[in-house]
Parts: sequence; structure tokens; C-alpha cells
Amino acid sequence: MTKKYLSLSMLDLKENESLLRNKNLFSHCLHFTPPSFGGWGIVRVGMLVPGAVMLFVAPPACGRHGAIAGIQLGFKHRLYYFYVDEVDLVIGKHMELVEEAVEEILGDESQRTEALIICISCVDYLLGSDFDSLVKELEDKYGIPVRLAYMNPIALEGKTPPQHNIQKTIYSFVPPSETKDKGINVIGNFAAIQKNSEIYELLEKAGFEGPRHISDYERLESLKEMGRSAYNLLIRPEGKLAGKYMQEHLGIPFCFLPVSYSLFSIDKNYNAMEEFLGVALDRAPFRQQAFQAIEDAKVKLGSLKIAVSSTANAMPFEISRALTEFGFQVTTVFCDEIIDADLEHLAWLQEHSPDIKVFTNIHPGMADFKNEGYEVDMAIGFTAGYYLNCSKTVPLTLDEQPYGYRAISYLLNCMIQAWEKPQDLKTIISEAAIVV
Amino acid sequence: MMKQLFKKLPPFAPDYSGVCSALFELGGVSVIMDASGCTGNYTGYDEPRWYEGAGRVFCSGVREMDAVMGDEERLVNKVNEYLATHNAAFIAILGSPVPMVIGTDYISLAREMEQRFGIPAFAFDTSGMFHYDKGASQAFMEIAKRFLKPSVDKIPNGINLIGTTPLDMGSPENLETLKLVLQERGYRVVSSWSMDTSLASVSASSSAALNLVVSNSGLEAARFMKKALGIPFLAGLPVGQKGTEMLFQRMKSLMDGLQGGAAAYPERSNNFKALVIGEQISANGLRECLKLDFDFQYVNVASFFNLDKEFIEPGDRSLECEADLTRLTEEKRYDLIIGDPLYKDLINLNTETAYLELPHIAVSSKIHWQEKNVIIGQSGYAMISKALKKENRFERNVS
Repeated sequence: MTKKYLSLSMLDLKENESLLRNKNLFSHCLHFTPPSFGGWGIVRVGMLVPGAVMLFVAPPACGRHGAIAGIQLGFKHRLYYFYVDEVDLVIGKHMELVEEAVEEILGDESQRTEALIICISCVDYLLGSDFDSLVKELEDKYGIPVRLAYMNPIALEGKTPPQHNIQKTIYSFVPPSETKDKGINVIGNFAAIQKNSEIYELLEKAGFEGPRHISDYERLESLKEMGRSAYNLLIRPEGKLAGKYMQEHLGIPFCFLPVSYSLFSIDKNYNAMEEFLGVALDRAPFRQQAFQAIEDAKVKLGSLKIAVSSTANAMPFEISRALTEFGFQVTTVFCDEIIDADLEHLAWLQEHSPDIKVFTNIHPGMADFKNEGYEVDMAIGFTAGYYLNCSKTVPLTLDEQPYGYRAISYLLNCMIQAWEKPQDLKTIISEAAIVV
Repeated sequence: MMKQLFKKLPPFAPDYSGVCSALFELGGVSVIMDASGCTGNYTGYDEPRWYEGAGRVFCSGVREMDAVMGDEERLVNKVNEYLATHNAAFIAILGSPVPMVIGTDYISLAREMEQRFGIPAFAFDTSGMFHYDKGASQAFMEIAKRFLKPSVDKIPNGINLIGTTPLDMGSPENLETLKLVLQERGYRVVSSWSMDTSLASVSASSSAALNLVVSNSGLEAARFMKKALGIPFLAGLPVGQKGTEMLFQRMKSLMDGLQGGAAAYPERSNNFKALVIGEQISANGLRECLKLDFDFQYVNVASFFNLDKEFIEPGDRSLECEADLTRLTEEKRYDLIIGDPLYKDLINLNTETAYLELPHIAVSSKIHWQEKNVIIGQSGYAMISKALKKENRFERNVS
């Protein structure tokens, strides 16, 4: 494994398909952090809870990126920082001080605080500080829901990695309901599904309401509506713990139907959705529109060499398969691990596009990659754009959530836009306020 | 109001960012012992140079089991693997909150690496509990201790710039202008610690005749160099017209072996008061400019970062918490405040107070780091002049 950078061929992956599934893939090496790497971060996800404020309890350093992103994106006024002191931390005195801090925050009548999230970091997680009891006390004292969240990347490879855990935390604010309506929630995603997705129309015609997403609500009380929903559609893997939690505590079953871009995968998602909901969805016209969009885009874009990275809002091999099926040539994929749902697409690519090279995002040798002279016509995802210095980059970030057949036209329109109006990648990465 | 509760300001650039920033261009490999977020803080939010030339700063990838088992040999092996395919002039091992809590022995770790890999290895007990200036200061000290050798050939007009990091200097144009201004006055910049530089030029610093310390984080290394190598130092930045003249007079005096006298300020025609919030040495430069070029009677400096006693003036204030700044500005009712735009949230700005926004990357990070805010020399004069011209009451201050 002592290589300048970790490069995997499709053959490597075929011979040892668990390579990208092995969480110890990087346990032997230092980790590189490209400037394009990151996502919403724990704090921003926590801010999806309507009416909630967050008290971040940690050494000052831990909160910097989340706070700056909060200023860039306009939610900093709901974020408070309590800086733990080394001595207080070790003797546990900071727990008492946190109580005082909460009093000061909730005593501010200019804020209409409906809920509180106390977010702790690696150090309190490691020390096992009893914040669970504190949270209960605070809830009793102030009569508002209080939850504990963790920004603890030290647990990245554990059973409750932070980006999964925070999704569970935000949905723990949804109250249970004894009665269910015909509502459908969509979970796991960060932004609500784009309103032009056909899913709204299809579900409505089938007699359902929604899909409902946490970002649709402005008041905490309104989350009751999500509690009344009969089904959860889980569309990104980060929401798996949340899905299980909601199934267990709110009685809402879930089905994993990941964001996809190929006709094959979208058909498959809708088939599974029909089975899960017990209805037929009249989706043929939308499929035809997507098919036409592919034909039109091919005329406009011609045959492009494309690189894909896992920082895009997609499963990297699924979107690579989609692009290959559309007639483009995917030459390079940047990713660090593969989820189960993406395995069949990896297998498809191994058969249909065996020359694709796979690189990781975080192997230390990647610090040199930018100057290696690899070239593509277009990149999908910030990291692919960064490594290949590509001005024609489609960010496809988590800030927009395409879904269904309309995800295809969204992707293709973004590609046409990137092709016709290249942007300064450094600026758009900086403005995206991504957090590792 | 609790001191440890921050409601408005973001956390400032931490100590490990200061170390990484100071070492960024020197050809070593820096390893932050963390899980990912600390390195992401530095690379994404404290290092404007990261995009163009991603430096050799890596995350050690600490996981729960590493912390529980304290398996430091794994880190040595990771560095070993990296060095098998890459050259490095040195290794820097940096702490973060997790290794602080588990009591990692950084010094032994660095010593082991130095012996095993045969290149210098430094340990920094950074913890994320302190600000960037402390970390940068530690890094400059290590450079001074480990890489400087006495020089017999002195360059009479040779100057080292100590304390140049983007966290304090902001726009690269500040350093470019500073070098240009020095060159115009006949000085030769031997080295810059540590922007637009290399380990070779930093190592040659002992041939310079003077250290010009441009930020507080360079002071400790400059004092060390004065004691160990006999290089005198002056702390200051040439800001504005007369401020620049004043600094050059002091530099000349010092290089001629004379004591630099205190600034002689002209008679004031008013009693305008100003506050500069920020890093001490640049704030002092702005103070000189406000007093000498713009006739301000009182100029105070306040900072959330370290204020060195030698360079403090009466009325200067060290800030510990947000309320300190609010109280100070309410008490003193300044006519002009200069500081990072984010400080404005803490100040009850009224019609009596003008605010000149001067971003400090260690505070507002990437929000403003693409902006060109040059304070050196004439540019600093022009910037302040433009701000004062917006207010009629400063009419007499702006010629």
C-alpha cells in the first residue's frame, strides 16, 4: 500500500471488491484534506430543527468552521458557544457552567426559543461526561425539548458516526402521534426535494400528502405533522439511524430509496416505492421526459470525458453509471468508501467501463495529485473539480435535492450550464461553506 | 454575562492553525493529531493558501480506539509510510483537544521520529484551547532554535520580517507592499517568517542586521534571536505616510546602534478618540498613522489576542469576552473604531462613532479573505482617509 497515491483500477476493485468497503483502508496512513472536502457539518444539520438554538460545548477550536459557515449562511444568531477550560473539563466543573450558560441563553426574551440542542465534542464524548442527565434536568426546568448532539469525528468509524447521529437527533424532536394520516416524510436529505420533482405529483395522485421534510416547517410545533405521517422515504444513507429511530419510536416504517440519476436506478426506486406504499404510480410520462432530456443534452454537450467525486450529492458509482449510459465517458472517480446500494453499479461499471480509474480523496499522496496533469472535460462534485483543476464543474451539493426522473434533467441542465458558463471554482467552493 | 459564553463572535483561529500557518511554506510535514475536524478548520477556514498549493499538513486520523489504547506507534508508522514516498525537511507533530485530554507525550513522540527518520521533528502541545498567535509564536521559536546558525557575513541593510502569516497579514498585497516599501528605502529583505519564503531563506536569517517584527507572534523568536545572535529587533508596521516615516527613522537609529526615541506627536487641533481592535503590532501601526497623519488625540488598542507589555500604551485593553468589548466601547464613546467587521455586532454603533472595517483572517476567516485590504504605507493612509471623508466632522483631520 506504499504508493504515491492510492489508485485503484476497476480490476483491483473486482478482485477485492471489499477494498472501498473496508473502513480500515486509511488506518495505516495520514489523511489529506482537500479544500473541496466536506458537507453540511453537524451544526448546520442541527439548525434544521425549527425554532431551535444550539449551545456548542467544546474547546474553542472545535466550533470555528461551524460558526463561520453559520455566518456565511445566516444562521449564526441561533448558535452559542461555551468554551470549556482544560481544568474545568477534567474535573467536570464545566457541566455546572453549562447550566448557567443555558440560563443566560434562554433568559434572552428577544429570542423565541422553542427547543435547545446541546452539542458536545470529542473530548466530552471520550470523558463520558453525563450530559444525558443534564439534558433531562434542563428539559424539566425550562419546559422545552432539549436534546444532546455530538460533533465527535473520533467516532467516525463506530456504530453511530456523527453525521448519522445528528440526523437521529433532529428527528427526535418529532413528537409521536397515535393517529396517522396519508402523509409521507422524506428523510436523510438536507434540503427538501426540489418542488419540480414529479414525486409530489405522483404521490398526490396516489392519495398521499407530501413528501414532508423537516426544512418545510418554521415552528417546532408544526413537526407534529411529520409525526402523523404513515411512511418515511429515506433518500440518503446518513438518515439510516433516524429511519430506524422513527420506526421504533414513532411507528413510521421506512424504505431506502437513494438519490439516483440513471433511468435504471430511478425505475428501481419507484418499483420499490410502489411496493412499500402499496400503490401504482403513473410515472411513464416523466420517464419519457427524462429520456428526451438525455437525448437533447447529448446533442448540446457531445461526448465528454467526465470525473466524478463522492462529494457530489450522489452515489459515485451510480452517477458514473448514469453518465456512462447517457453516452458520456467517465474516466475518473474519487471516493473513499462504497455503500451497499452502490455495489451493483460498481459491478455494472466493471463490465461496461473497465478503464475507469478510482482515486481516494484523503490518501496523503493526493496532496500532489493536482499537478499530475490528468485532464477531463467536466467534473461532477467539488473534489473532482479541485483535483483536476476543472472550471467546468457541476457542484451538485447537498444544498439542492433533486429526486426522481427530474433529477436527470436537473443534472443535465447543470452540466449544460457548467459547460456554457464556467465558474471560478475557488470562489464557489469558498462560498459553499462546506465543513469537514 | 458569562465570560466563556460567546453569543456573537465565532471562535478565533486556534493555536494549531497558528503553527501550521507559520510552517506552511517551509517544506516540512505537519501532522495534526485529530480525527478530522481540527485539520478541516485549518485547511478550510484558516489557510487562504491551501487552495493554490495544498501544503503538507495532514490529519493523523485519530479514532476512538487510538485514544483509548494510546497507540502512538501507529502514528509513527503513518509518518513512516508517508516519508517512504515523499521528502520532508522536518516533521511537526501538533496536538488537538483529544490528545490533550488523553495526555499524549508529544515530546517523546517527536524525539522518536527524529531518531527514526533522521530529520528534525518538533512537538507542539497545541490543544485548540488557545488562539493562533500562541501557536504561531511557538512555531517561530522552534524555527529559530532549530534552523538558525550564527553568520559571520552580515548584510548591513539586511532585514528579516518576523511574524508574517496570512492570519495576520491578510491580503498577500500587504506583504508585497511591505517588501516594496523596504526596498525603496534601500533595505534588503533577507527572509520572511513565513510567507513568500523557503526554509533556505529563513535559515539564512542570521546574516540580517535587523529583525522587523510585524506581528505579536514574532516577538518571542525575535527576542531569542537578539539574545542568541545579537540581532536587534523593532516591532512595527509602516502604516500611512508619517507612520511609515517614523518607523524608518526608528529602524535607522537601531541599525546605527542608537536608541530609537519615542514618537513625537504634533499639537492636536481636536480631541478625537479612536479604537483599533486587532493584532497588537498592526494595531500599533494604525495607531501611529491615526495620530500622525490624521491628528487623533487618543488612540487605544484592544485585542482578544496577546498584548505584549513592552508595546502596550496607557488605555490599551486586553479583551477576554464579548462583554469586555461592548463595555469598553460604551464607556469610551470613540469617534472612530477600526476592526474586523464581525466585532460590529458587539458595539452599539451610533451616529457618533464611525466604524472602519478591516478584516482579520484569524477572526472572520474566509468571509473576507479574498478582499484586498492593504494598510502598508500610502495604501493605509488612503484607506483611512476614505473612511474619514465620509463623515463631515473629520473634515479637518483629512487634508
